Amino acid sequence: MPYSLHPISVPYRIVQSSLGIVPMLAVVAFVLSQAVGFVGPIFMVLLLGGVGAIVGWQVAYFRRFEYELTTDTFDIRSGVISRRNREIPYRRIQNVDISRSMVQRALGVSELRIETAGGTSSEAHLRYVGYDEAKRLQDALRERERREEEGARDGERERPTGRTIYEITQPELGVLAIASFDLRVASFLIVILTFLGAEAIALLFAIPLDPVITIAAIALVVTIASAILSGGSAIINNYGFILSQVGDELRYERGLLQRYDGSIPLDKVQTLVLQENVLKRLLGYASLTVETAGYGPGQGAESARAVPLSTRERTLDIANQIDPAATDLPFNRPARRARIRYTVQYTILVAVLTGIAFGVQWQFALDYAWWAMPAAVILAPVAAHYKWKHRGYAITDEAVLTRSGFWRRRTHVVPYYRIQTVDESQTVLQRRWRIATVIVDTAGSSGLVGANPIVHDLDDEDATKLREHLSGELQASLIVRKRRRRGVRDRFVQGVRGTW
Amino acid sequence: MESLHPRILIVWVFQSIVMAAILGAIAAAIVFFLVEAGMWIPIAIFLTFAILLIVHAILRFRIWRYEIREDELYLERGVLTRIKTVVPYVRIQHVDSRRGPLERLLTLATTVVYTAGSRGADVTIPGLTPVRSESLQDDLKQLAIESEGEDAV
Repeated sequence: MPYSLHPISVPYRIVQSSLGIVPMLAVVAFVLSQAVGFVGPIFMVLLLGGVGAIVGWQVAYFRRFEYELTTDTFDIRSGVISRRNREIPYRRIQNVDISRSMVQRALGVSELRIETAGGTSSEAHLRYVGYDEAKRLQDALRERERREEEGARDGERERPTGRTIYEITQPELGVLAIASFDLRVASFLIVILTFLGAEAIALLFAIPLDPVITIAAIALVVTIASAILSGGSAIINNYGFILSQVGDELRYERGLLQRYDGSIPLDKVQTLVLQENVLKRLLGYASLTVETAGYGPGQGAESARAVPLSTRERTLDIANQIDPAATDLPFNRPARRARIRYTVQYTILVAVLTGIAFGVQWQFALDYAWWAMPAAVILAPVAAHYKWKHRGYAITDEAVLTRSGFWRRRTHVVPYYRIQTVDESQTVLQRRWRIATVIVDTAGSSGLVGANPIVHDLDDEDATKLREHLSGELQASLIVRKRRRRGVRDRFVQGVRGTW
Repeated sequence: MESLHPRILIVWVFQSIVMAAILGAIAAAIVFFLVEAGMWIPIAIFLTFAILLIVHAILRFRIWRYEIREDELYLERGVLTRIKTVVPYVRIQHVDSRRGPLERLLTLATTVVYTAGSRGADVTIPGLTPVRSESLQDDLKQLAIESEGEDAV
């Protein structure tokens, strides 16, 4: 039976698009009035015409949009002028996300998106259905996928009851606000400050104080402001975060103003990412994100979050429940000589910075202690050590774990059977140091922003061994999964596994 | 391990010369319109880049290797950054065979292998004879079907 969108979506969409065109119409009316000499009537005519067109379009959009749950596909028929019939097989569905803004919550409607692998945007986008209907769809889609996988044995089964895995507490929300401190917000504020213009800056320096104190004060204010902004947005986004398991699916709910309800099928999880920036590590906390192949570039960086913040132990425990391979293991570090290389790199960096500092004082005739810059070289080995220390990998029976980043450390858990391709790469300089980097590609979404699971600077023989190990384990795990699907015990794998 | 067909060198050398010519032309325009300097500068720029890029093309050809293994496609390539890639057949989504105008002139073809990987680094094997490219496409397709992964994601 085909369904339509929620009737309220018609007036809601009309208001939404009308608000969108008002500024544009005002500009057009203003331009026209230059020729004719009056603004008001032109604007009114344009507005009436525009809104009339929108009303017609939205009513047609509503009447010509329908969706249906068939035996094996979710069908959407839409389009006012050019029609589109889309059929999404249940088994291919990766994520089902519901979001509700404040206004939508008041009206009782919500936006529903369905993600499959492939494609750059959401494969289905229902704007808008009732919240109850959205929840019903989320359950129905999952239920049908399960039934299809198990071969349509039993009829409609009772909806499995959810089990709460994690619920954010007030103290955790507080720690999250602190640990989300992001210097990028600060740099954004500084950009705004420079846009305020030379006068504002001149005004600041006109204050009868030592310029050093003024600069320190500005830095302090910017830091506090960015702490408030980044902390505030972390609280608004993660307020009331609940992660639960319903059947073989993870569900989360979050948000103070705009509420999000998402579903992540456990068998679609590609990789788990444990994120621990410096602050979180100092405070003993960690975050966890779950990647699927559902999101396109730029989508879902926020929505794949499974644990916004909890103690490290608890986060690892939850990661372990989602994928047993996620355990705290001793990591193999990059080759020791890589640390020497990093020291060399940082020393070169200090030399370059010294050159810039000298150039600035020479060009602008500023008198400051630029010659103190080379002293930073004593930090080079320290920085190199920490960079080295926070890189590495570990292998288990089921997965490879990779780690990198001192400031924003990420630990990826990649099950062998999720590996897509393996690259071993060596730059000219790496060849001289006989080290190589191994990049593991998955269908998860993080690679799109350049945060692939990556093992930096191994001894090149170890890198080759790791690459061979990974491709061997992938094949072995595929055989295991095939046997398991056929219901055969998977004992024999021990023999198949390559030696490591 | 197979290497590429030597005729691909003609394509790459041609591309190197075109690239060097573009750089030389830019330098010539700068010298002609902006800076008063000898015309030998753009010529020197052209020659330097032409030599460097041709050497690069030759090295690239000599390093390029690929192998159809039992379970995976293996490639080695890259002059400055050496990359060894493993593409398991189960992960192949689709395979293209492609021929550009210059390649058609030289009866060459390129095979492109797509995976669901997120890096967008689809695997390209240039410098194949059209027959080889098509047989490779068929082989890979067949191997991908035989390896029957769940849904390759």
